Order: sequence, then C-alpha cells, then structure tokens
Amino acid sequence: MNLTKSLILSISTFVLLTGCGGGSGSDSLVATALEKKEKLSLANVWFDAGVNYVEKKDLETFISTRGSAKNIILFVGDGMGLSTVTAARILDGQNRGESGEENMLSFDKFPVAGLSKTYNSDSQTPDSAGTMTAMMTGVKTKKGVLSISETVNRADCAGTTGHEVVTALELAEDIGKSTGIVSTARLTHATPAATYAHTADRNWENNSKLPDGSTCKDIAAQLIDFSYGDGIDVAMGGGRREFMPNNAPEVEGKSGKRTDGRDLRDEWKAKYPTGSYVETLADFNAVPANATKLFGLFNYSHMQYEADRANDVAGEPSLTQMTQKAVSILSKNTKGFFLMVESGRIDHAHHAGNAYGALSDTIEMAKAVAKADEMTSDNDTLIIVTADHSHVFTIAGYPKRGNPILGKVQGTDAHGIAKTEDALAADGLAYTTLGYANGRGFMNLGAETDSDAGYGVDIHKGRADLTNIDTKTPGYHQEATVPLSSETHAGEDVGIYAKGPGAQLLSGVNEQNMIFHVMEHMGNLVKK
Amino acid sequence: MFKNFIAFTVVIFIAIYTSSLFAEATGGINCKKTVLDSFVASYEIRTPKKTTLMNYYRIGDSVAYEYTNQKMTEVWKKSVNGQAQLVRAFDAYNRSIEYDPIDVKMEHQSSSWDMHKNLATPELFHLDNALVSSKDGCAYQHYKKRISGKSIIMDFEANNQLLLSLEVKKDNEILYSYKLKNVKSIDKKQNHLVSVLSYDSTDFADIGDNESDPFLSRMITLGFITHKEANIIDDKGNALDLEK
Repeated sequence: MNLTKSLILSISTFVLLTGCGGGSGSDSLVATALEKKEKLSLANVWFDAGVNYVEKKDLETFISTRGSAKNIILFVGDGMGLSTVTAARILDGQNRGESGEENMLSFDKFPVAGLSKTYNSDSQTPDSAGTMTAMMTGVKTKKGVLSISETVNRADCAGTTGHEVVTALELAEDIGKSTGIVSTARLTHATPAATYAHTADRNWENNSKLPDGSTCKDIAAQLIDFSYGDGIDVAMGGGRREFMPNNAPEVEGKSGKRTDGRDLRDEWKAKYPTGSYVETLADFNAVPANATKLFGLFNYSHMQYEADRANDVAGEPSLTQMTQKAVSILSKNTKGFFLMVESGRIDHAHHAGNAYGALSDTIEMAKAVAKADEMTSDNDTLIIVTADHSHVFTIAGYPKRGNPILGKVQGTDAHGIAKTEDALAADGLAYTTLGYANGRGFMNLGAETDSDAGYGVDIHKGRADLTNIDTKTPGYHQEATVPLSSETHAGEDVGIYAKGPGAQLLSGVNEQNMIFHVMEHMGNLVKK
Repeated sequence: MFKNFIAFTVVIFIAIYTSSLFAEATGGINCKKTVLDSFVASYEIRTPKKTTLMNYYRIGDSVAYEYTNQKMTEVWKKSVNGQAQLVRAFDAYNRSIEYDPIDVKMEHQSSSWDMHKNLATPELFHLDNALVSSKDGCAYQHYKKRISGKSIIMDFEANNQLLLSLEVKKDNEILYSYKLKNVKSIDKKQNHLVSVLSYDSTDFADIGDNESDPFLSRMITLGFITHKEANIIDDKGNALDLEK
C-alpha cells in the first residue's frame, strides 16, 4: 500500500474513531479523567500514598475469636485528647528536624482507630475517676467515684457496700493471669486506683482523708490488701506518702500522710518476702531479672514531668523504662497478663496551661507504647491506647506548613508563599498556634526568675505582647480565653488506637465502657 | 594629736549615727539573750494603697509568712537538693495547697530555698558597702543604694539573717516598705507554722481534678488573680498599665 493510501486510511480511521467519540460527549470526558488520573499517580506523592494505603488495608485480617488475646495492655494518656495527639505528633517530628505534620506517633500506626464518648453518668464533661471506671468495669458511673456503680453518691461511704463493680484487672488476676499497674501519677490517684480500688471518693487516698468515723478502707490500703489471685504482680508509680505514717521520714526528707501508724511498704514486703520494693532509679535498675513481684514508689507525690525527670532528687525511671520492666516480668506467666500503663501528667501540664509539658509527656508515652509493641506479638497481645478525657487545648490560626507548633502563627501570603512575620490579631498582637479556652493564661518563665518580685504571679488575664518572647521554651504557658485558677477538662470524644486480637471491635464511635467489654471478650476474662 | 581627735570624733559620730538607725528597728532583739532558731518576727508592710501586717516564722529548715489581714500563710520547706517546697495555706478554711518545686516554677517563682528562707537579704537586692555596727551580740548592717532609678534602704541583722527594715522608693514615692515591729521565741512544736502543716492539703497538680470540692472549685472559678490585673502584659510579664 503506497504512502498516500496509508495516510488516507489513517485519517479515515481517526475520523471514524473521533466521530464515534464525538457522537457521545461522555466518552471523551471519561477518557480525559482517566488520563488525568494516570498523570496524577505518576507525579503526586499524596495520591500514591493513598493507593498504597488502601491496598495494604485491604489485605489486613483481624482475629475476633473470644479469648484470643493472651495478653492485654491498656495505655491511658490522662487528658490526651485529639488535639494533644496531633500537636505531640507534630512536635515529635519537628524535634527531629522534620516538618512535623506528616509524622506518626507509634500508636498512630496502629491498624484500628475509633472514638470514645467520655461523659460520666452525671457529668457532660467527665473526670478521670468516672472515665477510668468505665474502661475498667464496663459501666459508666458518676464523676469522682472509683469502680462502684452509679447508684452510689459521691462520698457516701456506707452506700458503697454491695455496689462495687469488678474490674478487668481483678478478673485477670482471678483467672491466673499476671497483672500490673504503671503510672507517672500517684499509684493511689484516680486512674491507676480504678483498676484495683472501690471507693465513693477518689480523694480518699490515705486514711487521714477518710471522713471521721468512716469504716471505709482508703485507696492505698486497698492496693496492699488486694486479695484476688496471688496479688498484683507489678505496681510502679508515685505517691509514697500515701503508704507511709506521718512520723516516718523518707528519701526526699518529707514525712508520710498516714495517721493510722501503718507503713504499707513494710506490709507489702512482709506479704511478698521474695518481692522487690524500690524507691530510686538505682534500685529500679538493680531489680533482678528473675523478679516476679515488684512494687516501686518513686516519688513522694506524683512522679516528675518527663521534661523535668532529670531533676528528681533520687532519680526516677521513665514511663518507657517502667513499661519495659513490667512487660518483662509479667510475660513470664504462660497464662498471659493484664497491664495498665498511664501517662498521668499530660493532664497536669494542661491544667497548668503548659503545652510543652503536656506534649513532652505524650511523646514519652508514645515511646512506651512502641516498647510494649516491640516486646509482644500481634497474634496474642491486644494493645489499646486511649485517653480518659480531653482538655480545652486548641491548634488554631493558619500557620504555614512546618511552622513551629509551639511558636507564633506565621502564615502564607495570597500566593501560598510562606511568610516570616507573625500574624497579628485584631488587637495588633501576635498569637501562638496553641492555646487554651480557659486556664491560668500567659506566663513566660524561660530560664530566669525575677528576684525583685515581692509578689507571686498567679494568673494573667487578657492578652500579652509576645513580640520578644520565645514561646517555644519549656516555661512558656499559652494564653487562655477565660481566666481560671486551673484549666479544665473538655467533653469531646477522645481517640482509641488498637492493634492485636479484637482491635477492630473498637473502630467506630464507642461508649467508653465498651473498652472493658472488648478486653473481657478478647481476654475471656469471665471464662465463658 | 588634733588629727587623732578629729578621727576619733568621726568614728564615735558614725557609731552613734548607725546605732540610732537601728534603735527603733531592732524590735527588741538582744542577740545574746534571744534564741532565734525558733521565732516569729512581726512586720508592718506599707504600699501606697494599704498597710499589711505580716508574721515571719522560722523553725529550722522551714519558714512561714503569715498575712494576717488576708488570712493566708505561705510555708517554705527546704528539700533535700536545696530546692523549696511551698505550702500555701488559707487560714480561714484550714485548707492548704502543696507545691512541688516544679510547680513553684510554674507559679513564676524561684524554687530555690535560698530565695525564700529569708524575707529579704542584701544579696537579693544586690546591695553592698554597708555601714556596720554591733550591739548585744547582734551584727547590724545599713545599706543605701540606687538601682535602676529606685532608691533602696535596708537595715539587716547579719548574725540571725533577719531583715530589720526595707524601703524602696521611686521618684520620692515609697513603692513598698517593711518594718520589723517585734521578735519573740516560739515553741517548736506548737506554733502557727506547725498548725498550717496539719491543714487538709491538696497538691497543686490536683486542683484541676477537684472541681467538686467547694473550696477548690471557688479557686477554679474565681481565679487567683493578684494585683497584676491588666489587659495587656509586656514582654517582661509586667502589666502595661500597672499603677506604681
């Protein structure tokens, strides 16, 4: 076929095809969209990441057979709401020189994420006691009470009897599993206490706090007198003063709080003569590898914030170190274990209006989760990471990508180009990305203290001129809208991050008490 | 000989002058007789707007500042590593708040024991070149200096590390002054400082979790706003429209 005929044939074919296509407008649109999609997949990392994610997710399988979780680890970030997780994620990445937003904390990578509705039976915005009760017992209850039903009023000692609700830790111990509690708060504080104590008031941490004439047992005594199974195998945290009599000096030079003459540390040692009782980092490090019982009280009251841990008088282990030690001891039991780990001071830092402290403790908790994940198998260990409640902590303004999360807002111009000057509010003042809806407000502590101050500065109300202030320092406290002595909890849902047998049961929006039921089902804690 | 006479006269004059400065300020101290390891010193504190009475207690490694008008007491206790633990007491309610050193820093105060063990010291105000005299076993120091536009006059008893008087002026207006009224020994086991430490206490870190406690919830709702109330604070933490 000569060249002329070939050309005519090609043109004809082309006309024919385009004629077919031209007769129907949608065919040309479909072809165009496909072309665009192909071009996109070749050039856009977001698109490729999305494709890969879906393909990977599609291959995941989940175990849901009752009792498939030999081990259960519940991590609770006290006050670790979604904004805290997001900001901590960004800070963690920025600490490594990254932009931050694309970073993933250890539990961000878990295959299952859900939400938890945190309200207490009597309170729209909850507290740690009622919320931890929900997670540990499977029932919602009133604010301020620990592992008793909602029919009992707070501080009603006599009304407690018969209304105690069994906890997942007690069930686990009863069926022969090993059990552990780790917290950076006092071990008698609400969150850890809800795992083993039943009381009408979270403040009854030692006997001197009980009402006059009360027959109830204080929380510290309930820990020592725990009678399920062979007793709690590992308990580590703060709150030494709740276990000591008020005439006994301790390693920090302070005296205890008990007025009944009991030294519960000695009672624990007598009860478990082969166990290890420790108070310092050196003692912690010296715990023998074959230890099966461990009781650690590392601080007079709460343990230090992670950012300040190095300043502790006698030295403290980190949350990660305590988690590692706990898992290594508990995993010796062939029947498995139940472990609760709390990062207890995220909440306290938020109450003080200090984002740096809250985020630092969150990052440390993520490291503890990673360590537990590393030491256990997805085939037989259910790991749940969640919070008891949120805080009124916000990430606001329009900071540019990679803007220091602890810094002042610097945005982009009309062309999307990053600016280098601070964004100004309607009052002409700069503002930080992070803030609080209420609380103690602006404070700039930095590294210096004002020696000429004859006064203590408690709360600043109103705005502050941040022009020459480095808001990224550990001592900077963000501005708050409503001035209060203490920033408050928030009422929105918190995240649940899970992996291992039964994790998928926590996807979606859950009542907080469902967490217990998933743990019970997957651990077969009631031995059905 | 005349020169010696002049020099001798000058020395006597200075001695009389410095002694007269402390005559009223000693509050009756006789350092040979008064045991000052457990004592209470009463001060009158004046500012342009008001006069306050304050009792300063010292027992070993604990000191207390009792503001009787406000019915509040602050107790500072020395910790093992040279830091200070604060107990802030509300005497009308027999309640107190305990602060760990890190919490003290969050309160915008120094957590160093040295900063709080004394009401005020020459070192705190960077004073030097004192006129000195001694009497009844006491070592008196008189300081006078201008710093950053402010005039500071301090009388201090060095043997017991006790402030006798302090006056801070700016533009001839007294910003604040402290004056010792009297000092007396106290029983180590029975005194206001010991009473304060027996109050029902709450950790500062736990305030936010105690909104159902009527006392603490009042703190949360009413705040702890002090004199530094202003709409805008400058970059030093000072209120821009603070009245001075």
